[in-house]
Amino acid sequence: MDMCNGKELLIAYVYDDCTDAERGRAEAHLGGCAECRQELEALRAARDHLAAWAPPDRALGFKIVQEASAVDERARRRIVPAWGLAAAAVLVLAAASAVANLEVRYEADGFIIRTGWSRPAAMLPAAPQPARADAATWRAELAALERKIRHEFEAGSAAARPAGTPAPASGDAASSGELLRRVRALIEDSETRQQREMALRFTELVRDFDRQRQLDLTRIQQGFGRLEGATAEEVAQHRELLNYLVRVSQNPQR
Amino acid sequence: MEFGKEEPAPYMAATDEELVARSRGGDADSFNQLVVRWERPIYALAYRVIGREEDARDVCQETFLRAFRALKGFKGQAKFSSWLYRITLNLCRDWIRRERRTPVAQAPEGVDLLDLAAEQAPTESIEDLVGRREMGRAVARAMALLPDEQRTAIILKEYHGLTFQEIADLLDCPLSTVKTRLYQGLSVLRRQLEQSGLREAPGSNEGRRASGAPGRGRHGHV
Repeated sequence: MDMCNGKELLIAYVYDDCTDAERGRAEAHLGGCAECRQELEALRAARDHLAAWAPPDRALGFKIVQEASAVDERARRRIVPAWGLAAAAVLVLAAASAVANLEVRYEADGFIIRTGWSRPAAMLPAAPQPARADAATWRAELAALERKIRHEFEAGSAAARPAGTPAPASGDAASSGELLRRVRALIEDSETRQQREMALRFTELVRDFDRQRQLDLTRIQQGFGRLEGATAEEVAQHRELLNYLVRVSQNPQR
Repeated sequence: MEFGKEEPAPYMAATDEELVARSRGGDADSFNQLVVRWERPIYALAYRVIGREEDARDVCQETFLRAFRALKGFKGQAKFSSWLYRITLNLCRDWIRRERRTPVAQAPEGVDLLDLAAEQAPTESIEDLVGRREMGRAVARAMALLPDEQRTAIILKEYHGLTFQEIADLLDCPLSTVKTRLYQGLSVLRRQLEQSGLREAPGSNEGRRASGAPGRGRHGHV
Protein backbone atom coordinates (compact mmCIF):
# COMPACT_ATOMS: atom_id res chain seq x y z
CA MET A 1 0.00 0.00 0.00
CA ASP A 2 1.29 3.40 -0.94
CA MET A 3 1.90 5.80 1.85
CA CYS A 4 0.54 8.77 0.01
CA ASN A 5 -2.84 7.21 -0.65
CA GLY A 6 -3.54 5.03 2.32
CA LYS A 7 -2.04 6.18 5.55
CA GLU A 8 -1.98 2.86 7.31
CA LEU A 9 1.60 2.17 6.38
CA LEU A 10 2.63 5.61 7.51
CA ILE A 11 0.98 5.25 10.90
CA ALA A 12 2.44 1.78 11.33
CA TYR A 13 5.85 3.25 10.65
CA VAL A 14 5.27 6.19 12.98
CA TYR A 15 4.47 3.81 15.82
CA ASP A 16 6.95 1.21 14.68
CA ASP A 17 4.24 -1.41 14.97
CA CYS A 18 4.89 -3.21 11.71
CA THR A 19 6.58 -6.22 10.16
CA ASP A 20 10.10 -5.99 8.78
CA ALA A 21 8.67 -6.15 5.28
CA GLU A 22 6.39 -3.22 5.96
CA ARG A 23 9.24 -1.25 7.44
CA GLY A 24 11.32 -1.87 4.35
CA ARG A 25 8.55 -0.66 2.09
CA ALA A 26 7.98 2.43 4.19
CA GLU A 27 11.61 3.45 4.25
CA ALA A 28 11.89 2.87 0.56
CA HIS A 29 8.95 5.18 -0.11
CA LEU A 30 10.09 7.83 2.37
CA GLY A 31 13.43 7.98 0.66
CA GLY A 32 11.75 9.35 -2.43
CA CYS A 33 8.70 11.27 -1.12
CA ALA A 34 9.26 14.63 0.60
CA GLU A 35 5.60 15.11 1.42
CA CYS A 36 5.43 11.89 3.37
CA ARG A 37 8.71 12.71 5.06
CA GLN A 38 7.30 16.01 6.21
CA GLU A 39 4.12 14.41 7.48
CA LEU A 40 6.15 11.77 9.30
CA GLU A 41 8.13 14.41 11.17
CA ALA A 42 5.00 16.37 12.05
CA LEU A 43 3.29 13.30 13.45
CA ARG A 44 6.37 12.38 15.43
CA ALA A 45 6.51 15.87 16.91
CA ALA A 46 2.87 15.55 17.94
CA ARG A 47 3.67 12.24 19.60
CA ASP A 48 6.50 13.83 21.54
CA HIS A 49 4.16 16.45 22.90
CA LEU A 50 1.74 13.80 24.05
CA ALA A 51 4.32 12.57 26.54
CA ALA A 52 3.80 15.74 28.56
CA TRP A 53 0.25 14.82 29.47
CA ALA A 54 0.23 12.92 32.75
CA PRO A 55 -2.60 12.25 35.20
CA PRO A 56 -2.47 13.92 38.61
CA ASP A 57 -0.06 12.19 40.94
CA ARG A 58 -2.25 11.21 43.83
CA ALA A 59 -2.39 8.36 46.28
CA LEU A 60 -4.85 5.68 45.26
CA GLY A 61 -4.41 2.86 47.73
CA PHE A 62 -7.40 0.74 46.82
CA LYS A 63 -7.83 -2.45 48.72
CA ILE A 64 -10.32 -5.27 48.75
CA VAL A 65 -11.39 -5.89 52.33
CA GLN A 66 -13.50 -8.88 53.23
CA GLU A 67 -15.49 -9.36 56.40
CA ALA A 68 -13.61 -11.71 58.73
CA SER A 69 -10.77 -11.97 56.30
CA ALA A 70 -7.60 -13.90 57.02
CA VAL A 71 -5.84 -10.63 57.86
CA ASP A 72 -8.32 -9.77 60.60
CA GLU A 73 -8.06 -13.25 62.06
CA ARG A 74 -4.32 -13.00 62.29
CA ALA A 75 -4.50 -9.56 63.88
CA ARG A 76 -6.98 -10.81 66.43
CA ARG A 77 -4.82 -13.74 67.30
CA ARG A 78 -1.81 -11.50 67.68
CA ILE A 79 -3.55 -9.34 70.24
CA VAL A 80 -4.72 -12.21 72.45
CA PRO A 81 -1.41 -13.62 73.76
CA ALA A 82 -0.32 -10.35 75.40
CA TRP A 83 -3.55 -10.22 77.36
CA GLY A 84 -3.61 -13.95 77.80
CA LEU A 85 -0.36 -14.08 79.70
CA ALA A 86 -1.35 -11.39 82.14
CA ALA A 87 -4.81 -12.86 82.55
CA ALA A 88 -3.37 -16.31 83.07
CA ALA A 89 -1.07 -15.01 85.77
CA VAL A 90 -3.94 -13.36 87.58
CA LEU A 91 -6.04 -16.49 87.28
CA VAL A 92 -3.33 -18.67 88.72
CA LEU A 93 -2.96 -16.38 91.69
CA ALA A 94 -6.70 -16.23 92.19
CA ALA A 95 -7.03 -19.99 91.95
CA ALA A 96 -4.26 -20.48 94.43
CA SER A 97 -5.87 -18.03 96.80
CA ALA A 98 -9.22 -19.71 96.40
CA VAL A 99 -7.77 -23.10 97.15
CA ALA A 100 -6.11 -21.86 100.30
CA ASN A 101 -9.08 -19.69 101.13
CA LEU A 102 -6.82 -16.73 101.50
CA GLU A 103 -7.53 -13.11 101.68
CA VAL A 104 -4.68 -10.89 100.69
CA ARG A 105 -4.85 -7.17 101.10
CA TYR A 106 -2.26 -4.49 100.79
CA GLU A 107 -2.69 -1.77 103.34
CA ALA A 108 -0.63 1.33 104.05
CA ASP A 109 1.80 -0.42 106.28
CA GLY A 110 2.14 -3.77 104.61
CA PHE A 111 0.32 -6.88 103.52
CA ILE A 112 -2.45 -8.36 105.56
CA ILE A 113 -3.17 -12.00 105.09
CA ARG A 114 -6.16 -13.86 106.36
CA THR A 115 -6.44 -17.57 105.95
CA GLY A 116 -9.36 -19.92 106.40
CA TRP A 117 -8.34 -20.23 110.00
CA SER A 118 -9.94 -18.53 112.91
CA ARG A 119 -7.20 -16.09 113.81
CA PRO A 120 -5.83 -13.70 111.26
CA ALA A 121 -2.26 -14.55 110.50
CA ALA A 122 -0.49 -11.25 109.98
CA MET A 123 3.26 -10.98 109.78
CA LEU A 124 4.61 -14.15 111.26
CA PRO A 125 7.85 -13.71 113.16
CA ALA A 126 10.97 -14.91 111.49
CA ALA A 127 11.72 -17.43 114.24
CA PRO A 128 9.43 -20.32 113.32
CA GLN A 129 10.94 -21.19 110.02
CA PRO A 130 9.18 -24.29 108.74
CA ALA A 131 10.72 -26.39 106.06
CA ARG A 132 10.72 -24.37 102.87
CA ALA A 133 7.53 -25.26 101.04
CA ASP A 134 8.30 -26.49 97.60
CA ALA A 135 7.08 -29.06 95.11
CA ALA A 136 8.74 -31.88 96.96
CA THR A 137 6.72 -31.13 100.07
CA TRP A 138 3.46 -31.25 98.16
CA ARG A 139 4.35 -34.52 96.58
CA ALA A 140 5.37 -35.92 99.92
CA GLU A 141 2.04 -34.81 101.32
CA LEU A 142 0.15 -36.55 98.58
CA ALA A 143 2.20 -39.71 98.90
CA ALA A 144 1.61 -39.74 102.65
CA LEU A 145 -2.10 -39.25 102.10
CA GLU A 146 -2.18 -42.10 99.64
CA ARG A 147 -0.39 -44.37 102.05
CA LYS A 148 -2.77 -43.48 104.82
CA ILE A 149 -5.78 -44.16 102.62
CA ARG A 150 -4.36 -47.50 101.54
CA HIS A 151 -3.70 -48.35 105.13
CA GLU A 152 -7.27 -47.46 106.00
CA PHE A 153 -8.54 -49.69 103.23
CA GLU A 154 -6.54 -52.61 104.48
CA ALA A 155 -7.47 -51.93 108.09
CA GLY A 156 -11.10 -51.59 107.13
CA SER A 157 -11.20 -54.79 105.15
CA ALA A 158 -9.33 -56.63 107.93
CA ALA A 159 -11.83 -55.36 110.50
CA ALA A 160 -14.71 -56.42 108.27
CA ARG A 161 -13.39 -59.96 108.17
CA PRO A 162 -12.68 -61.01 111.69
CA ALA A 163 -11.28 -64.48 112.16
CA GLY A 164 -10.74 -65.03 108.43
CA THR A 165 -14.37 -65.56 107.36
CA PRO A 166 -15.22 -64.45 103.77
CA ALA A 167 -16.34 -60.83 103.56
CA PRO A 168 -20.17 -60.63 103.75
CA ALA A 169 -21.93 -58.06 101.58
CA SER A 170 -23.60 -56.27 104.49
CA GLY A 171 -20.35 -56.05 106.35
CA ASP A 172 -18.73 -54.53 103.32
CA ALA A 173 -21.36 -51.86 103.08
CA ALA A 174 -20.89 -50.85 106.70
CA SER A 175 -17.13 -50.91 106.48
CA SER A 176 -17.06 -49.01 103.23
CA GLY A 177 -19.15 -46.25 104.81
CA GLU A 178 -16.73 -46.07 107.68
CA LEU A 179 -13.90 -46.18 105.22
CA LEU A 180 -15.33 -43.31 103.29
CA ARG A 181 -15.59 -41.24 106.41
CA ARG A 182 -12.04 -41.95 107.37
CA VAL A 183 -10.78 -41.14 103.91
CA ARG A 184 -12.69 -37.91 103.91
CA ALA A 185 -11.18 -37.00 107.26
CA LEU A 186 -7.75 -37.69 105.91
CA ILE A 187 -8.35 -35.52 102.89
CA GLU A 188 -9.63 -32.70 105.03
CA ASP A 189 -6.61 -33.03 107.21
CA SER A 190 -4.38 -32.88 104.24
CA GLU A 191 -6.21 -29.88 102.94
CA THR A 192 -5.78 -28.03 106.15
CA ARG A 193 -2.13 -28.83 106.13
CA GLN A 194 -1.85 -27.63 102.60
CA GLN A 195 -3.70 -24.46 103.43
CA ARG A 196 -1.36 -23.76 106.23
CA GLU A 197 1.65 -24.30 104.05
CA MET A 198 0.26 -22.08 101.39
CA ALA A 199 -0.36 -19.37 103.96
CA LEU A 200 3.19 -19.74 105.14
CA ARG A 201 4.48 -19.47 101.64
CA PHE A 202 2.52 -16.32 101.13
CA THR A 203 3.77 -14.75 104.31
CA GLU A 204 7.31 -15.55 103.34
CA LEU A 205 6.74 -13.87 100.07
CA VAL A 206 5.24 -10.88 101.76
CA ARG A 207 8.13 -10.73 104.21
CA ASP A 208 10.55 -10.72 101.33
CA PHE A 209 8.60 -7.96 99.70
CA ASP A 210 8.64 -5.92 102.83
CA ARG A 211 12.33 -6.51 103.45
CA GLN A 212 12.99 -5.34 99.96
CA ARG A 213 10.77 -2.37 100.52
CA GLN A 214 12.73 -1.48 103.66
CA LEU A 215 15.94 -1.82 101.77
CA ASP A 216 14.65 0.38 99.01
CA LEU A 217 13.49 2.97 101.47
CA THR A 218 16.84 2.95 103.16
CA ARG A 219 18.58 3.28 99.90
CA ILE A 220 16.31 6.11 98.93
CA GLN A 221 16.99 7.76 102.24
CA GLN A 222 20.68 7.37 101.71
CA GLY A 223 20.27 8.70 98.27
CA PHE A 224 18.60 11.79 99.57
CA GLY A 225 21.24 12.06 102.19
CA ARG A 226 23.86 11.94 99.53
CA LEU A 227 22.04 14.61 97.69
CA GLU A 228 22.17 16.78 100.71
CA GLY A 229 25.84 16.04 100.95
CA ALA A 230 25.71 13.59 103.83
CA THR A 231 27.67 10.38 103.49
CA ALA A 232 26.63 6.92 104.64
CA GLU A 233 28.53 7.44 107.84
CA GLU A 234 26.78 10.66 108.51
CA VAL A 235 23.45 9.03 107.94
CA ALA A 236 24.38 6.25 110.37
CA GLN A 237 25.46 8.87 112.84
CA HIS A 238 22.14 10.60 112.46
CA ARG A 239 20.33 7.38 113.12
CA GLU A 240 22.44 6.65 116.19
CA LEU A 241 21.79 10.07 117.45
CA LEU A 242 18.09 9.58 116.96
CA ASN A 243 18.17 6.24 118.78
CA TYR A 244 20.10 7.83 121.63
CA LEU A 245 17.59 10.57 121.87
CA VAL A 246 14.74 8.08 121.88
CA ARG A 247 16.37 6.12 124.67
CA VAL A 248 17.17 9.20 126.63
CA SER A 249 13.64 10.43 126.27
CA GLN A 250 12.40 7.11 127.58
CA ASN A 251 14.82 7.15 130.48
CA PRO A 252 15.02 10.69 131.61
CA GLN A 253 17.13 9.79 134.64
CA ARG A 254 19.95 8.56 132.48
CA MET B 1 10.95 -27.06 51.78
CA GLU B 2 11.73 -30.06 49.68
CA PHE B 3 15.29 -31.06 49.15
CA GLY B 4 16.67 -29.92 45.83
CA LYS B 5 13.76 -27.61 45.03
CA GLU B 6 14.26 -23.91 44.80
CA GLU B 7 12.79 -21.44 47.21
CA PRO B 8 9.49 -20.06 45.97
CA ALA B 9 9.72 -16.62 44.40
CA PRO B 10 9.06 -13.63 46.63
CA TYR B 11 5.44 -12.78 46.85
CA MET B 12 5.59 -9.57 44.88
CA ALA B 13 7.35 -11.20 41.94
CA ALA B 14 4.41 -13.49 41.21
CA THR B 15 2.99 -13.19 37.73
CA ASP B 16 -0.49 -11.90 37.04
CA GLU B 17 -1.60 -15.42 36.22
CA GLU B 18 -0.33 -16.78 39.52
CA LEU B 19 -1.97 -14.01 41.52
CA VAL B 20 -5.21 -14.46 39.63
CA ALA B 21 -5.17 -18.19 40.35
CA ARG B 22 -4.69 -17.53 44.07
CA SER B 23 -7.34 -14.83 44.05
CA ARG B 24 -9.84 -17.17 42.49
CA GLY B 25 -9.30 -19.44 45.46
CA GLY B 26 -10.58 -16.58 47.65
CA ASP B 27 -7.23 -15.09 48.61
CA ALA B 28 -7.94 -11.37 48.96
CA ASP B 29 -4.28 -10.64 49.66
CA SER B 30 -3.29 -11.93 46.26
CA PHE B 31 -5.93 -9.84 44.58
CA ASN B 32 -4.75 -6.78 46.46
CA GLN B 33 -1.29 -7.44 45.06
CA LEU B 34 -2.85 -7.22 41.63
CA VAL B 35 -4.58 -4.00 42.64
CA VAL B 36 -1.30 -2.47 43.74
CA ARG B 37 0.23 -3.50 40.47
CA TRP B 38 -2.50 -2.20 38.18
CA GLU B 39 -4.25 0.67 39.93
CA ARG B 40 -1.95 3.34 38.46
CA PRO B 41 -2.35 2.28 34.81
CA ILE B 42 -6.10 1.84 35.22
CA TYR B 43 -6.46 5.21 36.87
CA ALA B 44 -4.33 6.84 34.17
CA LEU B 45 -6.46 5.25 31.45
CA ALA B 46 -9.70 6.39 33.02
CA TYR B 47 -8.36 9.89 33.66
CA ARG B 48 -7.23 10.43 30.10
CA VAL B 49 -10.38 8.97 28.58
CA ILE B 50 -12.92 10.91 30.66
CA GLY B 51 -10.74 13.82 31.66
CA ARG B 52 -11.96 14.17 35.24
CA GLU B 53 -9.84 13.34 38.27
CA GLU B 54 -12.44 12.28 40.82
CA ASP B 55 -14.57 10.39 38.36
CA ALA B 56 -11.51 8.60 37.08
CA ARG B 57 -10.79 7.54 40.64
CA ASP B 58 -14.30 6.16 40.96
CA VAL B 59 -14.01 4.31 37.68
CA CYS B 60 -10.73 2.84 38.81
CA GLN B 61 -12.17 1.65 42.10
CA GLU B 62 -15.22 0.26 40.37
CA THR B 63 -13.03 -1.59 37.89
CA PHE B 64 -11.31 -3.54 40.63
CA LEU B 65 -14.52 -4.21 42.48
CA ARG B 66 -16.10 -5.65 39.38
CA ALA B 67 -13.00 -7.62 38.54
CA PHE B 68 -12.91 -9.11 42.02
CA ARG B 69 -16.53 -10.12 41.85
CA ALA B 70 -16.22 -11.55 38.36
CA LEU B 71 -13.03 -13.50 39.01
CA LYS B 72 -14.81 -16.82 38.76
CA GLY B 73 -15.75 -16.04 35.19
CA PHE B 74 -12.24 -15.04 34.15
CA LYS B 75 -10.66 -18.15 32.73
CA GLY B 76 -7.46 -16.65 31.44
CA GLN B 77 -8.33 -16.54 27.75
CA ALA B 78 -6.97 -13.02 27.63
CA LYS B 79 -4.33 -11.19 29.63
CA PHE B 80 -5.50 -10.05 33.02
CA SER B 81 -4.54 -6.47 32.15
CA SER B 82 -6.56 -6.61 28.95
CA TRP B 83 -9.54 -7.80 30.94
CA LEU B 84 -9.11 -4.89 33.34
CA TYR B 85 -8.79 -2.43 30.48
CA ARG B 86 -11.99 -3.73 28.97
CA ILE B 87 -13.87 -3.23 32.22
CA THR B 88 -12.44 0.27 32.57
CA LEU B 89 -13.32 1.29 29.02
CA ASN B 90 -16.86 0.01 29.47
CA LEU B 91 -17.21 2.03 32.64
CA CYS B 92 -15.80 5.09 30.89
CA ARG B 93 -18.26 4.64 28.06
CA ASP B 94 -21.10 4.42 30.55
CA TRP B 95 -19.84 7.51 32.31
CA ILE B 96 -19.65 9.53 29.10
CA ARG B 97 -23.09 8.41 28.06
CA ARG B 98 -24.46 9.31 31.48
CA GLU B 99 -22.87 12.70 31.53
CA ARG B 100 -23.99 13.30 27.96
CA ARG B 101 -21.25 15.76 27.25
CA THR B 102 -17.76 15.75 25.87
CA PRO B 103 -15.29 15.18 28.63
CA VAL B 104 -13.35 18.22 29.63
CA ALA B 105 -9.69 17.48 29.99
CA GLN B 106 -8.22 19.07 33.05
CA ALA B 107 -4.62 19.84 33.70
CA PRO B 108 -3.29 18.84 37.09
CA GLU B 109 -4.83 21.10 39.66
CA GLY B 110 -3.47 22.51 42.84
CA VAL B 111 0.10 21.85 41.86
CA ASP B 112 2.27 24.59 43.22
CA LEU B 113 5.04 25.48 40.88
CA LEU B 114 7.50 26.00 43.71
CA ASP B 115 6.73 22.57 45.14
CA LEU B 116 7.14 21.10 41.71
CA ALA B 117 10.45 22.85 41.31
CA ALA B 118 11.60 21.55 44.68
CA GLU B 119 10.79 17.98 43.72
CA GLN B 120 12.45 18.09 40.35
CA ALA B 121 16.11 17.51 39.72
CA PRO B 122 18.05 20.76 39.68
CA THR B 123 18.85 20.23 36.01
CA GLU B 124 15.38 21.34 34.96
CA SER B 125 14.83 25.07 34.97
CA ILE B 126 11.64 26.81 35.94
CA GLU B 127 11.17 27.68 32.32
CA ASP B 128 11.24 24.05 31.39
CA LEU B 129 8.79 23.27 34.14
CA VAL B 130 6.42 25.94 33.05
CA GLY B 131 6.87 24.82 29.49
CA ARG B 132 6.04 21.24 30.39
CA ARG B 133 3.04 22.23 32.40
CA GLU B 134 1.79 24.42 29.63
CA MET B 135 2.35 21.64 27.17
CA GLY B 136 0.45 19.23 29.34
CA ARG B 137 -2.48 21.61 29.39
CA ALA B 138 -2.33 22.15 25.68
CA VAL B 139 -2.27 18.42 25.03
CA ALA B 140 -5.19 17.87 27.37
CA ARG B 141 -7.19 20.54 25.57
CA ALA B 142 -6.35 19.10 22.17
CA MET B 143 -7.21 15.55 23.22
CA ALA B 144 -10.54 16.72 24.57
CA LEU B 145 -11.47 17.89 21.10
CA LEU B 146 -11.09 14.44 19.58
CA PRO B 147 -13.96 12.02 19.12
CA ASP B 148 -14.04 9.36 21.83
CA GLU B 149 -12.88 6.48 19.63
CA GLN B 150 -9.88 8.35 18.30
CA ARG B 151 -8.91 9.62 21.72
CA THR B 152 -9.24 6.14 23.23
CA ALA B 153 -7.16 4.55 20.47
CA ILE B 154 -4.39 7.13 20.91
CA ILE B 155 -4.42 6.73 24.68
CA LEU B 156 -4.11 2.97 24.45
CA LYS B 157 -1.29 3.18 21.92
CA GLU B 158 0.56 6.13 23.37
CA TYR B 159 0.34 5.58 27.12
CA HIS B 160 -0.23 1.86 27.48
CA GLY B 161 1.93 0.52 24.67
CA LEU B 162 -0.66 -1.81 23.22
CA THR B 163 -0.16 -3.13 19.71
CA PHE B 164 -2.63 -2.40 16.93
CA GLN B 165 -3.95 -5.95 17.26
CA GLU B 166 -4.42 -5.68 21.01
CA ILE B 167 -6.32 -2.43 20.59
CA ALA B 168 -8.47 -4.03 17.90
CA ASP B 169 -9.28 -6.92 20.24
CA LEU B 170 -10.07 -4.57 23.08
CA LEU B 171 -12.32 -2.28 21.07
CA ASP B 172 -13.87 -5.11 19.05
CA CYS B 173 -13.07 -3.52 15.71
CA PRO B 174 -10.97 -4.39 12.65
CA LEU B 175 -7.24 -3.75 12.54
CA SER B 176 -7.51 -1.21 9.75
CA THR B 177 -10.08 0.75 11.73
CA VAL B 178 -7.62 1.08 14.59
CA LYS B 179 -4.95 2.41 12.25
CA THR B 180 -7.37 4.85 10.66
CA ARG B 181 -8.49 6.18 14.02
CA LEU B 182 -4.90 6.62 15.12
CA TYR B 183 -3.95 8.44 11.97
CA GLN B 184 -6.92 10.77 12.08
CA GLY B 185 -6.53 11.48 15.79
CA LEU B 186 -2.83 12.15 15.51
CA SER B 187 -3.35 14.43 12.55
CA VAL B 188 -5.88 16.55 14.41
CA LEU B 189 -3.58 16.74 17.41
CA ARG B 190 -0.70 17.78 15.21
CA ARG B 191 -2.63 20.71 13.77
CA GLN B 192 -3.95 21.73 17.18
CA LEU B 193 -0.56 21.69 18.79
CA GLU B 194 1.05 23.53 15.89
CA GLN B 195 -1.61 26.21 16.25
CA SER B 196 -0.91 26.45 19.97
CA GLY B 197 2.61 27.43 18.99
CA LEU B 198 4.39 24.95 21.18
CA ARG B 199 8.06 24.55 20.62
CA GLU B 200 9.44 21.08 20.09
CA ALA B 201 9.98 18.81 23.03
CA PRO B 202 13.67 19.06 23.86
CA GLY B 203 16.02 16.34 22.70
CA SER B 204 13.54 14.13 20.94
CA ASN B 205 13.33 14.73 17.18
CA GLU B 206 16.69 16.39 17.13
CA GLY B 207 18.28 13.40 18.74
CA ARG B 208 16.68 11.02 16.35
CA ARG B 209 17.55 13.07 13.29
CA ALA B 210 21.12 13.39 14.38
CA SER B 211 21.56 9.69 14.84
CA GLY B 212 19.89 9.07 11.51
CA ALA B 213 17.89 6.20 12.89
CA PRO B 214 14.13 6.39 12.82
CA GLY B 215 12.32 6.28 16.10
CA ARG B 216 12.11 2.69 17.19
CA GLY B 217 9.64 0.97 19.44
CA ARG B 218 8.51 3.80 21.63
CA HIS B 219 6.93 2.23 24.63
CA GLY B 220 3.80 3.81 25.85
CA HIS B 221 4.41 5.21 29.32
CA VAL B 222 1.63 5.72 31.70
